[in-house]
Parts: sequence; structure tokens; C-alpha cells
Amino acid sequence: MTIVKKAKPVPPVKDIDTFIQAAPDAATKGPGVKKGNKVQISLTIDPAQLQRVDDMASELSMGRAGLINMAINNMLANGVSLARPKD
Amino acid sequence: MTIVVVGNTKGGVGKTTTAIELAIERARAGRRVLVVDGDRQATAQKAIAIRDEAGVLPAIACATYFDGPVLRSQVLTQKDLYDDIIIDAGGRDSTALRAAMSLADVLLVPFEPRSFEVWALEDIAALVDEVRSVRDGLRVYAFLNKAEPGVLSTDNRDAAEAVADFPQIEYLPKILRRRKAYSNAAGAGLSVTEVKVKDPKAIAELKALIAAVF
Repeated sequence: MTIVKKAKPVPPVKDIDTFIQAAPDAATKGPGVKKGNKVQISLTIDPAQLQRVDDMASELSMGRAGLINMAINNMLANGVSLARPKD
Repeated sequence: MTIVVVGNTKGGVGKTTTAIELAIERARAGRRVLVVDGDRQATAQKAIAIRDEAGVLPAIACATYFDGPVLRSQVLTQKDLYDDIIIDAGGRDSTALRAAMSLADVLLVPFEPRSFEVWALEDIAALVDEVRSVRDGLRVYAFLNKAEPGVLSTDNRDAAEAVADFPQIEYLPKILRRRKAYSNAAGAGLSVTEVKVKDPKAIAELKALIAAVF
């Protein structure tokens, strides 16, 4: 009896362009504009909220972007806190 | 019109040499031939340039496209101008190799009778599966290149039998053995039929391969 090997599942490919662009050397297009090792994004924010961010950054002698990045890092490391904001 | 891509995700298996030899022999048979170099090392292009500089006829048209989408659109644009298009796609998974596989009639996979080369057939077989999910009509042949001398070579026999593990690939029983004639000729932008000191065995092997592919 001939033993037939189990066929491997064929990875689904949508179309030829998707097949070609799946190669390791394909140019990857991510969101935002590349700035060195970082990506520049746009962010809309409530003006009052922005003022509070700037005030806190000033207190900590930090830049706005630095404080926002620190907050993002903190949130990603520790999760989102849903505690009521202080008055 | 036949589009043949000489491709393998494994490097060093003799893709460029094979592509050059096929292209020149087809041109010598009176076909209008375009060589497409899809390898960033552009070795095929250099070989054709050497042929041009030496003024050897027939002259072979050659274009180099490393970028897959560009290769695909350019080959589709130019295909009606030629009888045969031979694409040399570099020795790794690349957009150029994938683009060539997306439009070729034949994928010709040279492989050596060595363990690493046989293992690497799994990678090209996976790509064949993928491309066949989005297109029809691609014939895939593997043939032994740089094969061991001697018709009784167990390495050759074992490697040929290993292709049976990949139902996507048909083993083509046409062997190019390890001969200096191939590399010397291709390096000068020539076919083994054009060099001064001829190797009748190499010529016979090449002609048999061409007869099986086209």
C-alpha cells in the first residue's frame, strides 16, 4: 500500500500583489512618518487636557513628547488604570 | 511565447549559469530572447555585458529588475516583443522571485545533490503552493545541477528520489554534471556550444535539458 503523506495546509493568499509583497525584501509601509528610529504621528487632544500635560511636563522639567511617551510606556507596562481622576 | 524563471530560494545552485546557457541556446535557435536579471548581484547582466563587449552574436537583450512589482509589470509590458523570456531570480525569497513565479510558464529549479540543497526544496515548494493559490498553469521542474560524475552516483540518485517528497515539484531527469565547461562559458557570456574548446558531454546535457523544458 502506498502511504500518502498528509498535505500541508496552503497558506491563504488573497492575490498576486499580496503574494509578492510577502517576500522578506518587500518595502514595509507602516503608519506615520519615519523620523530616525521613531515614527511621527498626529494626535488630536482637548486643549485643556493639553495644558495640563504641558503643566505637568514643566513641573518635571520634561518636554511634552517625553512626558507623553513616558505615560504611554507606563500604561503599556502596567495597564490602564480606571481609577477616578483626582479633583 | 514562453516565460521561464530559473529560481530557487537556495543560493549557489547554478541559477545564473543555467539561465545564461538557456537564453543563449534559445537565441542561437533563432528565438527572440530577453534575459531578466532579478538578482541584486546582477551576475546575469554582467555576463551578457561581457558578451556584448566581445561582439558575440546573436546579441541577447537583458533587463534588470530587482523590485518584484516592477519586474512583473515590465515583463508583462515586454512579453509580446520576445519569443522567450528567461528570468534569473536570486537565491533567496524575494519580491523578484515571487513576481517571476506569478507570471512564468515554467519554474525551473536547479539543485545540487547535497543535503542542504535538498532540504531547501521545502522552501521553494511552499512558495509554489502559495503562488498556485492565486494563479494557474505554472509548471515546476527540478533538475540536478552540478551533479556528481558517473551514472551510478548514489548521491545523484538519492537527491532525485528526494524530490518525490514534494508533490508540487516534478523531477526532470535531465542532469547537468559538475563541469568547468558551464562556468567557464557562462562567465564569458557564452554558451557551451560557442566556446572554442568544446565539451561534447556538456553540450549534449544542455541540449537535452532545453528540449525537456521548452
